[in-house]
Amino acid sequence: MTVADRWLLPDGIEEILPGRARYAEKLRRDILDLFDRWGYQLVIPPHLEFIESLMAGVGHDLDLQTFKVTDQLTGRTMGLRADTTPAVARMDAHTLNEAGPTRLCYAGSVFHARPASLGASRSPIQIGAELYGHAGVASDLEVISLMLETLARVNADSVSLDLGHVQIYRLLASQAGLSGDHELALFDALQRKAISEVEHLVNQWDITAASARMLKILPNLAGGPEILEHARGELADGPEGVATALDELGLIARDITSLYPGAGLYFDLGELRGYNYHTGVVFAAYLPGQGQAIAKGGRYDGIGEVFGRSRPATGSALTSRRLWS
Amino acid sequence: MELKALQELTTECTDDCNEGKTIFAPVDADAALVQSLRRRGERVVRQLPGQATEAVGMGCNHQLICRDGEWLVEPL
Repeated sequence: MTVADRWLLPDGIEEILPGRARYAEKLRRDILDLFDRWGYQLVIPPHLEFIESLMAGVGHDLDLQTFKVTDQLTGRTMGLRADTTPAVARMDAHTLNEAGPTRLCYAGSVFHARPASLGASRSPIQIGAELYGHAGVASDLEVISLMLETLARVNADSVSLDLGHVQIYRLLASQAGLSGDHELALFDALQRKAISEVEHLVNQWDITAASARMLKILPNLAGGPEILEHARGELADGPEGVATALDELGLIARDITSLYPGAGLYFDLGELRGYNYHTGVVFAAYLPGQGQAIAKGGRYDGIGEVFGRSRPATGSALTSRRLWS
Repeated sequence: MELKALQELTTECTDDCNEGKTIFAPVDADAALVQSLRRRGERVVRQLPGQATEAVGMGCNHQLICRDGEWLVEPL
């Protein structure tokens, strides 16, 4: 190893130099002050935890993304957190144990064994807000509003807000009687927007014509707020919960348009990001000309169950280096 | 210096530390009014539909209240 190589940082691990560090810190304080004005209380979860606690109730993807180390005191495996949400959910469910709605926020580094996308940082600074203990659309609306308010802090005014609802696919798959394997295969094709593959898969299975038609149309149900009315017609034969999910998205569209008229709304009913742990409305904010979301979130009811108390939950996080630059 | 050790030396903050004014906004409070209060630097906690926990339980010491059609901030 040459002297120069010795000082090289690992891929995706960065340092922040004085001018930019000062700005990043100012932004962190501004955003946490904003969260405070919305009643979100700051918590500081640990960076390291035993792996069982870190992985409880979260998907396989997070396991692959987690750096693992051995605790020399106990011999047990610990993980560096790759996402802050599970730790905050544990604090709400297990440590705080409050009865009513609980609003918590956090800011700190997370660590990714593999970058989340090509060229992404492996030590992003994640800042986010979570609202526990309320199951209605009002709490989804609050966290989406807070996310847009946060982006307005960094003059990200022309935000495109993508909205979906994982319950729609879940209910249609359940009505069709898809097996676990089939549901996952279709989920995978939907997530890749592989429309012909979706059709091919659905055509192979012995399900009712109505179910097949609705599953096949799902990836095409994407567009502006008018798509919701269209979806109402197309999915009319679906279970009752589908109409409820569309109502929730409609309410969000109405209120966000009135409070944040600058935000462009885009609905994608085949969007299943975070399907493994999301349970309702999911959303992501994009800036013009950028393929990766600058902020994202959604509902994940029941995550606290593994920590002894099931609670409704919704939240959003910004994990982007672009925010700091 | 170790921040957690420094924190032990001060008596200002307890587990309930929630300094300053916190306004409780009932579920029917006007969303635009809540937005403008927050933009002026006030801390406002919104009541959510169906929520049983009251203002004090949410750590609030003020509330938004409608008197003669006008929303006012009053101490609890």
